[in-house]
Amino acid sequence: MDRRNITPQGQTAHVFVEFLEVAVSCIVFLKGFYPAGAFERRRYMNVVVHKAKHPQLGNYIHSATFGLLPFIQKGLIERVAVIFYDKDRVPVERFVFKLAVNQSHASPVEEKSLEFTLRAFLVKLEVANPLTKSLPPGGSWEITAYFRSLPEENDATDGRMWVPTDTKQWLQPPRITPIKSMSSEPLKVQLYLEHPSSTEPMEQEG
Amino acid sequence: MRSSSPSSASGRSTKRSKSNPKTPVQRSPFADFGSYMAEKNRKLRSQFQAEASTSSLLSGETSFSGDGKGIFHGVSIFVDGHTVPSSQELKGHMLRHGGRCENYFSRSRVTHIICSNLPDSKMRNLRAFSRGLPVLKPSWVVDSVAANKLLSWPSYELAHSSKICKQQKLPAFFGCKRISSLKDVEVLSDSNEGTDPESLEKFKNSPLLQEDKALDRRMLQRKRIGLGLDTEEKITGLLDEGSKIETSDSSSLQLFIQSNCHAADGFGELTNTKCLHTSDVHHSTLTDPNFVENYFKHSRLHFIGTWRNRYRKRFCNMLKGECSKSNVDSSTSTYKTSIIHIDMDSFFVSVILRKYPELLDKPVAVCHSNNSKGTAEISSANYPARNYGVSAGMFVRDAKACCPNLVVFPYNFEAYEEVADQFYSILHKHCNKVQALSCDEAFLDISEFSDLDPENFSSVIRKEIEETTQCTASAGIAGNLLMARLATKFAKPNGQCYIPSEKVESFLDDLPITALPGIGRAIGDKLESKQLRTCGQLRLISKKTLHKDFGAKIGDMLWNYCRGIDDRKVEILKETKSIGAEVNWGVRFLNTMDCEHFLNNLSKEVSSRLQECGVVARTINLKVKRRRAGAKDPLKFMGCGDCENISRSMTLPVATDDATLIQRTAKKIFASYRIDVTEVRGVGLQMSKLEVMGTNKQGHKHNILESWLMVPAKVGEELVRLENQMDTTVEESLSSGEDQLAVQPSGQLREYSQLCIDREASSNSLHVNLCNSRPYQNASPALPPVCLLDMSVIKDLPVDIISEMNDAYNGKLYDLMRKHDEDQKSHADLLLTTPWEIHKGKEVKSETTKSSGSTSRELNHPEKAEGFEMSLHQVKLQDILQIKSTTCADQMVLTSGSSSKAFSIMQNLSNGNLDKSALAQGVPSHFASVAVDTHRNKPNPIGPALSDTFKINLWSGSPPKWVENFEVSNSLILNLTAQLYAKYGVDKLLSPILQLLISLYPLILGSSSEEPLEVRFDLCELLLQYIELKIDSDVEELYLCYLLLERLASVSTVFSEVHNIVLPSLQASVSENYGGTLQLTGSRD
Repeated sequence: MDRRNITPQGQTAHVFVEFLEVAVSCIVFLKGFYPAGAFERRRYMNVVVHKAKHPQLGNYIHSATFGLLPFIQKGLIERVAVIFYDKDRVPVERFVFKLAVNQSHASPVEEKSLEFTLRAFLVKLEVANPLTKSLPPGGSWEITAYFRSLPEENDATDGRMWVPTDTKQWLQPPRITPIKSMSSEPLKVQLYLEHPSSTEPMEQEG
Repeated sequence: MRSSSPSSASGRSTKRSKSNPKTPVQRSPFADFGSYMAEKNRKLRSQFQAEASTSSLLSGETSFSGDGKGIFHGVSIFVDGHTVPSSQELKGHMLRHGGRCENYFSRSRVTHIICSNLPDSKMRNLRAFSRGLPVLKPSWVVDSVAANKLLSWPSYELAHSSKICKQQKLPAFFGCKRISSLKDVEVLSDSNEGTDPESLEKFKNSPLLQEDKALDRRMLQRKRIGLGLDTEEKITGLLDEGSKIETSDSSSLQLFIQSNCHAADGFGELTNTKCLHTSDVHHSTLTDPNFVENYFKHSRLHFIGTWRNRYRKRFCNMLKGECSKSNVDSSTSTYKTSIIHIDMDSFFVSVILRKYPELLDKPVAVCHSNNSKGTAEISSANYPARNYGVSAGMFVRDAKACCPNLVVFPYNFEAYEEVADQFYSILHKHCNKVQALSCDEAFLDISEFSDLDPENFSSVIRKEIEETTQCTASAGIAGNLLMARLATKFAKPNGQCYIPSEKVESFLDDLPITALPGIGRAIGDKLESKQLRTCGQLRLISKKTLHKDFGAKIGDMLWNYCRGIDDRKVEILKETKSIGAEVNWGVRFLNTMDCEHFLNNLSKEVSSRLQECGVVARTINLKVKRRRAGAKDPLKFMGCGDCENISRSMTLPVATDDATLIQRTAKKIFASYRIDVTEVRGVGLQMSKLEVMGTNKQGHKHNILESWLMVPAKVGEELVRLENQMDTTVEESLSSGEDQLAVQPSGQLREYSQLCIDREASSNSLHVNLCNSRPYQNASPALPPVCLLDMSVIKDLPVDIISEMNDAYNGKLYDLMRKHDEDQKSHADLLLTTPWEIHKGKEVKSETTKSSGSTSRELNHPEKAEGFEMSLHQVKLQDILQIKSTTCADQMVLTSGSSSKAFSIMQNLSNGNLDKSALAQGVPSHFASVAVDTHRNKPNPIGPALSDTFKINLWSGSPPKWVENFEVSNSLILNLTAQLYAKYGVDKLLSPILQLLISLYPLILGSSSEEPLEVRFDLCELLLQYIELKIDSDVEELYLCYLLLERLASVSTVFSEVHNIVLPSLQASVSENYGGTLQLTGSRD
């Protein structure tokens, strides 16, 4: 992708998408969804991160996040969530990236400062384990993006990778544990955890 | 630093028994400094012990001598100051060889002091410093390790050599001269004795520098009496080693020794002599011409390499001197570049022939050996010989075949050097822009002599060269380096050729492309395949095509060269990038010892070369040629054959020219290759990242003291700022007459002087300032000038303190106070109304001014003032609630019964009929409960309500508005918050402030302090606006604030109320923006 003649939004989106790929890998690693051996230590933005070794897993994360690029650029994406389900596909835990791209911002992006602020997320994620809940066995996970409006159908091939989801929702508003926030024009990102509210009717196993 | 506890040198156990019982018994193990140090020393030693056991296990070295103990057993060193090698390395040596290393000096435990340098004062009182212990150079440790035994130390004493190694004296700078003259003597003696070529050859590698005379003598002796007669034990030992490569041929060893000519132990010399005996046997084995060519090149490279340094040294002064001359001359130059390329004719032969004038017109060549059957290669042949078809690179055998009466001489490097020196002396005499290409070849830039005829000029030089050196030289003259060089080819022998710029094209037309410098066989063949042979043909090819076929660099070169374009300049001296030595011949090792020995010699050689050039290097590169698996025996005996090159470099923390350090690093790198030493066919050691000796010693020029001084200066500045700020706050609070705060100034005063002397106080000052009830016992050592005192503060001090201060100021204080009183009266109204206005806005102004007018005259009466303050609260509260009650009225009506009481109170409030006690106690809790209830029923009425009331964005501006408001407020909490923000607040973040509040709050206010209701409103308003500000950008910060607030709530009733008010609206905001509620600490599962 040519980075020279693109808008600050595009530039930011590119950095963010790259970051998102790493962050999602880190989250999956953090949750211990796969054995630790499925990940390898890498360095990104000068922080130790974990990258999926398995090509399929790596590809999924990569294609999912990079598929968001055009939408993030246009500011269509409101939230990106990494959702962990139990075996009945009821969400157990959601890592939500809430983002806002200021479309009117025009001055060029300080990529260094953007990276600096995003790095704080990765640092925080690495130590966020105590905030999370342990996953029940037989679960699954997926990346879900919340669009502000549905992308137009004729919107190139990138959009087709994203299909409408019928994920089960919690009935009660969830409880939120913020992990990290940043605001570096034109991008604002909040990362927080969502857990089902204590009043949420949970089907007990067995 | 000395440990105070006495114990014997080997008494680790006694030490432990002494300090250990202390540790468990006492709560703090360190009753005093002494016991702390004792414990620390013990810990350090046990760490050392642990490391020692692991490292000796790991290395598995044969570091332990026969008795099973390391060579340093019983030795305990103390490293003082900077040493080379570093104290860490020395420690490592001690670790591995059974010694100990003390971190702190102790007369009883340390046995040897190791240091490289000592200050003059210590040097003079060496006994006082060392307490009778030997003070040794670090080389003692290193050498002991190398020798694998404990060497006796007296020769390593620092005091011993102090006269030499202290400050460098003037004679040291002339040292090199002395050495070179010494060398001349050696050369003389050599050439006297060695008349036949054979002995000359034997001695051409005589050690150059720094060889001790004893070795020289020994060598001479050995030359006379042959090999076997030397009775010295060392030599016989070396004989064994020498015999390992006995079978190598002389040519290979010649090179071998040359590279190691500084090897001090005679290894090279010995094998040289030996091999001369056996050399003839193996000459017939040579068949590979390419290999011979490589070898020949190598040999010449080596000579030129060493020659270049020599040249640099010798002509350095001349170059500098002439540079200044050239500045004068160049002012008249016309910039018509004219270059002379001057080259000696068959240099290597001509020099030899000086002594044999009768052979001048006979065919003569230079080679290692005169063996007519041998395959030693001709290095240079004179023109008569060339007419027979003899050329450089030919084997002697072949040469003899084409020219049976060819006379072959061996090299005479001394003579070459002599002639080269003469040659360059002449060049430098005539011209100051000389670029030395080689020992016999140079470029002269004569463009500055515009009035000179270049042909005439060059003939003058050539004539002088011939007269001085008895050797002829040829010259090419042209406009640039390329053409001058090409011209020389046509000028040879003993002639000169001038190519003026107009003739360049015709000259090049028929020139074969391969004649151009830089065009080798590969490019030549490629061009040949395109039917391009001459420069004229090449000129027809476009630059683009050339770029396509040969790449940009070579394409450009070809395009330029075939047009006679060359924009290079004559450079006087090229910077040396690296220094090294490489041996690819005769390298065969039987075991690791051989290899290490060889590396030692190579390191010494490299080290001496570095020293010769006066540089130190940081990066060590070790190149190893290793026999390729399955490679056949090399065609040339003792050659390297088919090899793969392994190369690795290591960068040292400090630049060095120290042989032992280089050697150790080289060994380390070699070990890292993990190759079988018998496979090694060549070793090269190269040092790069060169630094000139002088500069690295000035490396620590950054003045640490200076930077230290900078820090307090800055802190001082800050203090003054803080001071001012506090003055104003105190003034404000005092002007309203709060009795409680009146004690503050005394602290303020004392503190002022304290701050000036104590850096730490800056962090405490705030704290001290606010702990107004704390007594200040310590009197200030120096009083501030009387004019700096804040009268409004002083005035409110208790009478006895004022009188005390007045005494301290010799009565001046009363005068000043009186004067100030009068001033103040006239400003009283202003002083009081200003802060009020900020708070309240216009609606209440008239009322305020009225009341302040009534109280201002009675300012000195605390009770009155208090009353006044309360009235202010009333007014404010009333104002707020009035508006609030109107906005919330309909909701209030709908609230359940429990809140109806609160509602009624609020009604009362809004009517302004509240008495003092109700205001202070009843209202807050009721109000809070009302607020909470209201929120439960319907989210966020109060937040917007309050915001609407004020309509001031508290967080706008920098610093935010609220800071100003809080500073002028008379609530301690608000003051504190504002001050904290002013001091630590960054980027409009509240969490750091709250965090500080948590720690400061109990200290300052205690949990039971009563705060006016107004404070709660201010805090709530602050937080609510903060939530509004941050909700969409930084929920993390809000969460953090919430958590902190929760903690604050546990220590302060005020904050607990604030917490209760703010939380619902926080949750409401979060759920509005994020579709969920914050995870609260209480409800975690």
